[in-house]
Amino acid sequence: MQEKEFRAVYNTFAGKVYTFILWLTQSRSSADDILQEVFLKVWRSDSVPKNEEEQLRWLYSVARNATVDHFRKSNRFSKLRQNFKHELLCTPRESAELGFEWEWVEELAETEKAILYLHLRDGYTYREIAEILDLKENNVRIKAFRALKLLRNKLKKKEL
Amino acid sequence: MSDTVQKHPSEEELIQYALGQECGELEEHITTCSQCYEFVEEMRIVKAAFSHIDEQPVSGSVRNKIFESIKKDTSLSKISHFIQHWYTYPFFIGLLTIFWVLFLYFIYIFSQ
Repeated sequence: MQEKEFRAVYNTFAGKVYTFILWLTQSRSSADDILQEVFLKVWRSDSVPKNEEEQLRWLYSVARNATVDHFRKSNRFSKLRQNFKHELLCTPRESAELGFEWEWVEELAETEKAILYLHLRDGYTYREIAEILDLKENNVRIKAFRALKLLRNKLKKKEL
Repeated sequence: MSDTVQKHPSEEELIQYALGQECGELEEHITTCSQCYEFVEEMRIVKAAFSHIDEQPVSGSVRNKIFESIKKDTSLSKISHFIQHWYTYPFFIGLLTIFWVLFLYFIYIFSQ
């Protein structure tokens, strides 16, 4: 990849990819490391898509794989995560007004968190998410359903 | 609204409706069934919460590290490319030839 192309990809997508990684890792230092790994892979890769939409999907896929690798390697990961709250990624007042508690998200599995982020925040379809996360579409649908139901039940309990 | 509507859509259908993937047929039921309406509203709250996740800025130091690492990677890959393909560089071949000629010439001179 040429440096000019690389800079364009970085400037367009670094923030989006970083937020996704941060969402999954809940650790700024890990997210910083993983982001570096991701963009080094981008730099070395000959298979970066040309189309911007495909580029982002490809980057999310690389980021997710890098995060999983990081999970495997790092034992201190879980300790770091305890100091990070999901609400730090959000506009606090608006989330509070909705009555949604971000700590409920902690109960979700990593894949479920990734699916909900890509589906609810970025608006990807289950098919697109299946491609990004290298899962079967039906598997994504089931996991999304389970995660959404869990969050909805939490919300309902809180309302009661 | 009434709870007397007997046939409720499945939770999965309600979720899809709440997230804007399927409309039409369910609309009538949801407007008349408080139970399903409540379910859909709760799902919409979950969706709205996720829409408030803000894009996080990457710090300048991380950006610098990334660009430094790709520069290092470039020079490393240039060296490794040269090691693997040194015989394809005409300048290097010419230089090597001159050294060999000089080396052989000096050996010849000193052996006299």
